[in-house]
Formats: sequence, C-alpha cells, structure tokens
Amino acid sequence: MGEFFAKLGIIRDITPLEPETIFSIAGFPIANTTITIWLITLIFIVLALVVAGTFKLRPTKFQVFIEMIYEQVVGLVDQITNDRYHSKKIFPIIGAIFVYLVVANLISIIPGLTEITLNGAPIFRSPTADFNTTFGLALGAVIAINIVSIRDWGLLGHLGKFFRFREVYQGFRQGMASGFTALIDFFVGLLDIIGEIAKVVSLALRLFGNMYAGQVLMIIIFGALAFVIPSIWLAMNIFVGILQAMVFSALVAAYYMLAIKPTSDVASREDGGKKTEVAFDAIQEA
Amino acid sequence: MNILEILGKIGFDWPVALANLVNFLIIFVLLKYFVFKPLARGIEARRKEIDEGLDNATSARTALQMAEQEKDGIVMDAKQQANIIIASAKQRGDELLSGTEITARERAEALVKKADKEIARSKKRMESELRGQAVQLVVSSVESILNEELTPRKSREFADRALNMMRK
Repeated sequence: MGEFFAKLGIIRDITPLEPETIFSIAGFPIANTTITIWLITLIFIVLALVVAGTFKLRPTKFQVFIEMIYEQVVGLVDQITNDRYHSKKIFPIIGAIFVYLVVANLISIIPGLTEITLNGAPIFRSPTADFNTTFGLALGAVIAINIVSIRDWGLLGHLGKFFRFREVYQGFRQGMASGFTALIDFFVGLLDIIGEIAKVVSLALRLFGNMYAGQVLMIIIFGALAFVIPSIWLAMNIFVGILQAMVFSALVAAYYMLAIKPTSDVASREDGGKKTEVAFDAIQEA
Repeated sequence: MNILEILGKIGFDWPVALANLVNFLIIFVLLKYFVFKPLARGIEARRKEIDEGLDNATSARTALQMAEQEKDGIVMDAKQQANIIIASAKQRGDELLSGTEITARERAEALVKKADKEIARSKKRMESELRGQAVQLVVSSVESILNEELTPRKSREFADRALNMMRK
C-alpha cells in the first residue's frame, strides 16, 4: 500500500534558495532567473510589436484583453492615488511593475519550461523566486520614490523629513515640553531612514517569500501526490502570483503618494492623502 | 554576521541584483513607450471618436427635432394660408356670382324695357298704319258707293267720321 502511494508521487529536489548560474559572460555570472528575464523581455518585445502594429479602433478579442488589463491597472493606480494627475504620472512605472511581476510570477507555471536543463540546472526559473530580482526591483522602486520626493520637496526638504533639527530648535523655543516632543520626533525621523531600508527589504522579502514558498510547496505536493492535488495548488499559484504583483505595485504607488508633497490648496488632495493612508493600511493587511 | 552575509544565505548577489534591475528597466522602457503609450493614445482616440459620435448623434437628433418643428410650422402656415386663400376665393366667387347676377338681371331688365319700348313703338306704328289703311278703305268704299272721286276735304271728313265710329 505504501509502495503504491509512493509511486503516485514524483520526487524532486527542492529548488535551492540561490539561482543556478548557467554560464558566464566576461566573468559575470548569468543566472537562470536572468535568462528568464530575457525571455520575458522577448515576450514584451513581441507584445509591443503586436500592440503598436495592430491597434485598431474596433478592437479584436486580443486587443480587448490587453485593454482590459490596461484599464484594470489604471483603475488600481487611480484608487490608490485618488488623483488623476499623479495617476498619470506614476502609471507607467506602476503598470510596468505590475505587468512584469504578473508574467514573472506565472511564467514558471508554463508546463515543461522549468524542465529544460543545462548541465543539470534548469535554464528557466521564475525571476521572483530569486531574491536578487525582488531586491533589485524594490531597491529601484524606493530609489525612484526618493528621487521623486527630492524633486517635490527639494534636497533640504527631503533630508528634513529624516533630520528634524529645525523642529527641535523651534520646539525648544516654544518651551521644554514642546522641545522634548520635538526631540522624540527627531529620533522618529532617524528611524525613518531605517524605514526606507525596511521598505526595500520588506517589499523584496514579501514577494520572494511568497513565490519561492509557492514553488517549494509545489515540489512537496508533487512528491506526495503528483495527480489532481497539484492542479488545485497551481490554480492557487496563479491567484497568488497576480495578487502579489498587485500588492507590490500598489505598495510602491502608496509609498509614492506618501513621499510627495501634500498640497493644501485643494481640499480633495488632502482627502486623497487620507484615502492613500487607508489604502496603504488595507494593502499592508492583505 | 553582517546583513550582506544574512542576505547571501538566501542567494543575494549584488551584481545579479543590479543586472536584474537593469533588465527590468529595459522592460519598463519597452512597456512605457511601445505598449502603454500606443494603448493610451488609441484608447483616447477611440474615446474621442465615441464622444464625437455621441455629439453628432445628439446634434442630429436636435436638428431632426428642429426640422420636424419647422416642418410642422410650415405645414401649419400652409394650412392657414390655404384656408385664407380658400376663404378669399369663396368670397370672391360669391362676389363675382352676385355681381354677375346683378349685371344679368340689369341687362335682362334693360332688354325687357327695350323690348317693351320696341313693342309699344311697333304697336303704335301698326295702329297708325292700320288707321291709315282703314281710312283709305273707308274713302275707297265711299268713292265706289258714290261713284265719284272725293275731295281731300271730304276724304278727311269721312275718314274722321269712320275713325270716331271705330273708336266707339
């Protein structure tokens, strides 16, 4: 009986945490996740050619599908920013992150793709199951947000968010109590520097952890029972892949909205800021 | 153990991370300029076309309503004018008819008067002729009875006498 069940499973090695290096170019290691990113780039080149070349006012079914995704992402960004101006401004980056992550998260589901090996190592691996990809993306996003913040607040204004010397000075001029409160705020500002680093790490680890765990769990389920059950987990993986892409891009959009200068001249803009915080909390909870 | 060592345990490698970031940036540029922009442009163009179509439909509907109102107005005016023309034609017809009747009656009356006058004149002429003939007859008869020719004075006396007898 035990042997029978053992035959129903397909035993595989657990995917290592670090990506496998397939070859090197001038001493630079090319990992299987990098090759998969090249494949994704190729897919997007084809997509770009199709979209740019065949766009019609009366859309085909494929065009309707592409436009539907586009509208969904625009809607997502709009919900977070609650401001058409900023939505338009950040849509390209948020949209690119979302589309890229959806494809990167789901590419390993293509049957047989991860089975292609070279010297025993799979040539393709989901890029988001590699911490380097998620870290690079998160780092790039946080750097971009800080650049936007510097452009919006000015260099001194941006640094003033972390080093609140002026508030301490003004606090102590008002009185001891205000001074000590400002001093606490000063240390909170310093903690915000760690917060910026934490943003990168949390964004990177959240995505990496979810996607890598999904792959590991898939291998374990395959080992236990290779039929029926994995398909349920596969469907779950599709859902998780899209959800994680959405969470990542929504968080970047929320960080952007928190980084820019809140304009007080428009009441709706202030309201928009509150809604951004609510949206941010909801995403964090998710 | 520093943070890089901890991250190294989960496969972190700076060059690979940066390479993957650069690769993503390439994808970003590709998507931004060759997917999102054409899509946004196309969707905007379609939206404009739909808006224009709706505007055109609305203006066409308004124009149709105005044309219908104008048509109704024209028909109404035409009806009113037709009624006026019919009424005036009827009036003129009546006037003409009554005028003709009057003229005809006047003419008939004139004709009758003329005829009466003519008859009276004829009657007078016939009476005088008849009288002349009767006188001539009396004179002739008297001449034949008397077997002599009467003088004009005698003729006149006999004629007067005969005429008086005829009048009686």
